[in-house]
Amino acid sequence: MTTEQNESQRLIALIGKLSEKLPGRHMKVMEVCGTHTVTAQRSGLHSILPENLRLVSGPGCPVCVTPAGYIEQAVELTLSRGAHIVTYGDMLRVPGLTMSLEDARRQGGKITVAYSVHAALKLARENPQEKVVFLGIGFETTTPPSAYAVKVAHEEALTNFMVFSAHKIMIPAMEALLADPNLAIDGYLAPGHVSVIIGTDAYKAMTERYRRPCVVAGFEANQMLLGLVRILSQIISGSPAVESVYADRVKAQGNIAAQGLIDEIFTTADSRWRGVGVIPGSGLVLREAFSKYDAKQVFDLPDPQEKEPAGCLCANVIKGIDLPTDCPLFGKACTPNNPVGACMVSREGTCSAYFKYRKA
Amino acid sequence: MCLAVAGKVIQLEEHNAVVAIEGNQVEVTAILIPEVKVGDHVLVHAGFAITIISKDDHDAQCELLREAEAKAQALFGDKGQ
Amino acid sequence: MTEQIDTIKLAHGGGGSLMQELIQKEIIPVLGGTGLNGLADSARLDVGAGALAFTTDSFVVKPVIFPGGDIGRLAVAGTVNDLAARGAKPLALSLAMIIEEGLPMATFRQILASVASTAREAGVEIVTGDTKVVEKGEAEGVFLTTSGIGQMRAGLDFGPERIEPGDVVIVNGTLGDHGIAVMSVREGLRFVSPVKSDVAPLAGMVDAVLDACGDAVKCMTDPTRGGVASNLNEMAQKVGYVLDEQTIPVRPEVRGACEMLGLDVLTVANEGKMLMVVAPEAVDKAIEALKGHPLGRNAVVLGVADGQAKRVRIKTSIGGERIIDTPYGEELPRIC
Ligand code: SF4
Repeated sequence: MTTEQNESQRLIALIGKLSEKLPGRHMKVMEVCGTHTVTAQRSGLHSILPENLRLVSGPGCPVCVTPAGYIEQAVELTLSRGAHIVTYGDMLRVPGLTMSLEDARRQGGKITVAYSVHAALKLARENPQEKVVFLGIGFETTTPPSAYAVKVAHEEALTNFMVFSAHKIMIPAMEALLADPNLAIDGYLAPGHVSVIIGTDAYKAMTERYRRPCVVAGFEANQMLLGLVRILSQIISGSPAVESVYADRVKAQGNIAAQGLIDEIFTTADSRWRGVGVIPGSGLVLREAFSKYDAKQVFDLPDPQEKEPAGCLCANVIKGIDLPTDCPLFGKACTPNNPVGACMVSREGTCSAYFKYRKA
Repeated sequence: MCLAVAGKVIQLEEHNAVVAIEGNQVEVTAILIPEVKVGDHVLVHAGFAITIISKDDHDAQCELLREAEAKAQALFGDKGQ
Repeated sequence: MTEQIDTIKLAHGGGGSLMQELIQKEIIPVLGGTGLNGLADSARLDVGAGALAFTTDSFVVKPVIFPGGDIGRLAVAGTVNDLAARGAKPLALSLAMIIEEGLPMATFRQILASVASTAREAGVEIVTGDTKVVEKGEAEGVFLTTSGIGQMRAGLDFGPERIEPGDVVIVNGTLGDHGIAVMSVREGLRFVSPVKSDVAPLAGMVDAVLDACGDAVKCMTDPTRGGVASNLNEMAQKVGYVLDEQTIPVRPEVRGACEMLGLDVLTVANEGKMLMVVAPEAVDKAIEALKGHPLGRNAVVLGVADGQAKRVRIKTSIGGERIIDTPYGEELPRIC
């Protein structure tokens, strides 16, 4: 047996013993981050948890929480307004209101897939006649690259580069879910890489207010199991707290340089989360001083509209109320090859992870 | 969200680093970790290094596991709970 | 006619003297074989008795020259491997080229030379061909199409219908090398990988296995685009397969690149790999035959067929099991 398997077995045994100390209590722990969702599905984690411990997926897949109306606006930017869209590969196949970016590319839209924002800057430098719009999606981990790009564009006076921000911050959404009495979340397995940026201290106020464990964990199955051990231990001892089991990768204050960069370029605003609705103060928009690099302002775009496809349960799936398998479309009308809702598109989407890694 | 992989900084010029990830060399922007040095291990996300990690990251994980076990064991010992 | 021409021009495909010059001076000397020298509109082949295998494939790759190979090697190896997967010994190939105006002559020559050397390596001749040149922007450098004819072995045929539960899937080496090699030079990714494409013609290697194992080999398929995931699902009509995460052969560099780009190595392309499904009693012989060939040195058992039709599964390292589906399309680099 490998040490990894040995560790898994020790952790699984421990979780079993801990959950026996909570008889009759049904615990619902939310993994906020889509990467956790993927690890859990990929490793078959759900199948080895005790019956009274349920792990539900949260709103931490940036692709899934980006409103369909935002994608529609990006489609329009390239098809009717001549912009050259640069996006992470994650966004390409997400259905918008009428089509995905991949469909738009088939109709002649200029869309480039990039692994990093550097490709967008390069494109803008080399093609001064093009209006290059970078789709800024994701949470605190993915925001600093967008902020960096705006800063560089500003320094170089690269006025044909813009960011179309759908960036979001995690904690207001986590608070909103805790405040929802329908959800009754017993604890959070907090996202490792967002926490690298924001630090464990950022969760303190929330944890004190709602008195629920909040444990930052890494992305291997064993690290998630370790996080669950700590959450159960906290519940049993009645002392909910913020904690990290992601070794020393996560510091109490987080990455100050990254926070500074975000703050220099962006400011918070209300933001719409696909499926969840508008959450006050949960979005990031470019500061006034950088409006030249803000696609929303340059192209004078309204706030994105939202309309969920008929029959899609994404809204409840994203909040952890329903499982993908509760959705009548799951695996039938809606599959990764033919997605109806956003949760089925992103590899991290809960429905996609459930489908892709469904048990044999 | 946010895939990130660990690697070692092998070149550094201002904020431009080259990071070795399992034998691959990746150009990475290191502006988010101004204190970085050649030889440091870092975590890379979307072309940016987001934090420095210690070389004995794995040992630290094992240590955490032992700690968690000890703490959980203490809970079992306490029959009054 | 001594004008120095260093890029391909539209007139090179125009049917006039420039085209004649391209064929006579550039193409025939490099590829020339008995069939091609005659310059007839079609080649005459004298083949023995028995059944023939016939296949065709088009090749598009960006960039046209990549670590470990180029589109020329890819086009020959691809068609040779399609023949080899049927157990056929390649006899003759055709080569059609659609070239984008402006392609550097040096690149064109390199691609041709590599077509020639790969054909030689596979023991096959290019017997007929065609060249067209299109305007800039209408192609990506060069597109190649190869067709091939091969002689089937008497009394042997291969296909998924022969696979039974208990049969074993063998692969001749590490997965994902081609896909990662090509991706590492795609613009904008900013990563340099020591990984070289595995692109290679496998007819000789397959021959060695068939010599050793005969009809204990049930089915063969080359896992190109869509990777192993796609081919295993194709072969899972009557049976299912179980793989073990711990024994998937992957180079550490490929694993690292996959992690970084959010790819599943089982869906990444290979161009020098053959999946062979063999009867359990022939596994050792097949592996031995593979290991005796330079292209099969890292051969391993990839998985086992069982009775759960249409289900390709993998055992995970913490003891779970999950399904491997056919990928949707080209996998894209991701950040989540
Ligand atoms: S299965 Fe499809 S339609 Fe149903 S909730 Fe998930 S994404 Fe929406």
